[in-house]
Amino acid sequence: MAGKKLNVQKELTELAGLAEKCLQCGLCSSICPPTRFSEKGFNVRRLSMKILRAKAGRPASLGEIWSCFVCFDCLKLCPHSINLPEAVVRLRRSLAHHGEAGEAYKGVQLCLENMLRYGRMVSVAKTDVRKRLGLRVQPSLPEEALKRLRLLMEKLGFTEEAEMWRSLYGGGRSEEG
Amino acid sequence: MKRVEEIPKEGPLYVHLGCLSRAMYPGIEYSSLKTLEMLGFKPFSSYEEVCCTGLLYLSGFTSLESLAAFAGWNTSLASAHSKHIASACDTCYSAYLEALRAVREDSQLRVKVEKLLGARGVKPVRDVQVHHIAEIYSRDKDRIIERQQRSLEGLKVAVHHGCHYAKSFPEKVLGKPENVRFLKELVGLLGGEAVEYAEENLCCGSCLSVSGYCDRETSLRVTEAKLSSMREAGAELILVTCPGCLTTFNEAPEELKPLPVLHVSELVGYVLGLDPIGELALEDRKVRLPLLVKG
Repeated sequence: MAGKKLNVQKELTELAGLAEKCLQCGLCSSICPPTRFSEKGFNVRRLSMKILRAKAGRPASLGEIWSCFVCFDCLKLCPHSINLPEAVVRLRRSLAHHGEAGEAYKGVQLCLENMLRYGRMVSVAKTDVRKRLGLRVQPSLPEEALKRLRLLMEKLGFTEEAEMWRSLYGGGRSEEG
Repeated sequence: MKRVEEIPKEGPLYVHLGCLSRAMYPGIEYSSLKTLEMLGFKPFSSYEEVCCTGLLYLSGFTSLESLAAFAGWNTSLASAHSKHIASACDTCYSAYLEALRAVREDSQLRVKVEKLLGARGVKPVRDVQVHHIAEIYSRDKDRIIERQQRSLEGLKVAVHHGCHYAKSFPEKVLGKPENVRFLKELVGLLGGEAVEYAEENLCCGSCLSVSGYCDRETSLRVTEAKLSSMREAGAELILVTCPGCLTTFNEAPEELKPLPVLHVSELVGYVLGLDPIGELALEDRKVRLPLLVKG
């Protein structure tokens, strides 16, 4: 929920339990796409080690957390089924709450705004093609459903959190081009 | 018994289309519904379907609670007529499974989400079963072959199973999770040749597709490696199960030498005789499809 900011250190302490089984065998880094292809030195095994050792104190930088594709390749190979993508998602969330997700926010801003406005992440419509195929020309949510959905988003804290992202990272309610 | 075997062979079946198909690929929406109808189901979808928000969740910008609530909203759309959902998108499929796992394991979250939904007149269903539409095509391959109008003969196809189907819940995958093969078999049965290529397991490069929240340069290199591996194996067409992967391949920059790409619902629609332009709108694809040339 928005309103209460997530605590990065608390997340790290909890995640240390998740990563405790890690043998540093490197199977994850042998398959991880950004580890194989990034020229910025990302290494998923080192990220795992960083999280494991972060129980006592927060590492200087956790910036590489945004390099993960969340493709679940590492989970597939890990001999102890350590769900590193889940750890990444949780850490991303708490870091984002503290203003440490600027570039990533730019990437999802339009999706967030569209969700608030239309209940869909992508909201354009190929009306001419839809008409030709005999589909409903506008595939958008009916207005009545959208009203209920907006109320739900308010109660979930989704709307309030979106406001927090705007205040942390800038940008207003953008229109889809 | 595999979960997909539990779907009744006929009768109502809810199709979850996802934001991308609805917005950008009307041919996927049309063919997903039409092909299932041709195979004997009574498929239905709903314009009240909301975004699964899988991408927002994975990037850290929304909560598990919201993900569960949106999934709950969507399960209620299916439940009046069917307890089975066929997703035409890998990320939506994975988001459903994540949400259902969360409400199953966390009773506090479940109670809260169900209360919030209930106040909006929405009754989520917990015992709903979520499948990928590709699994249903695989299960009902005999029915596809019986009704086959066009062959894939002479077509070399690179099959790409999206990560959010093949890897996020490996225990739910049809067949062996370490080597998902069922679409390759389907391509072969329909007369085509599913090529073996070195980077079959590699992600499409994902982050390019909708949002670009990851490092774009790395994403491009991954897509390039994937395309290069497919080309080396002689592929003429990429077959995907996810509109997100489809977007990645379809929108790949010219210098990456992109290959034509098709969603599995479109491919099945094509072999069942749907009009490539009038019903599948395939002329819309950036790289011209060999199907349009071969007729």
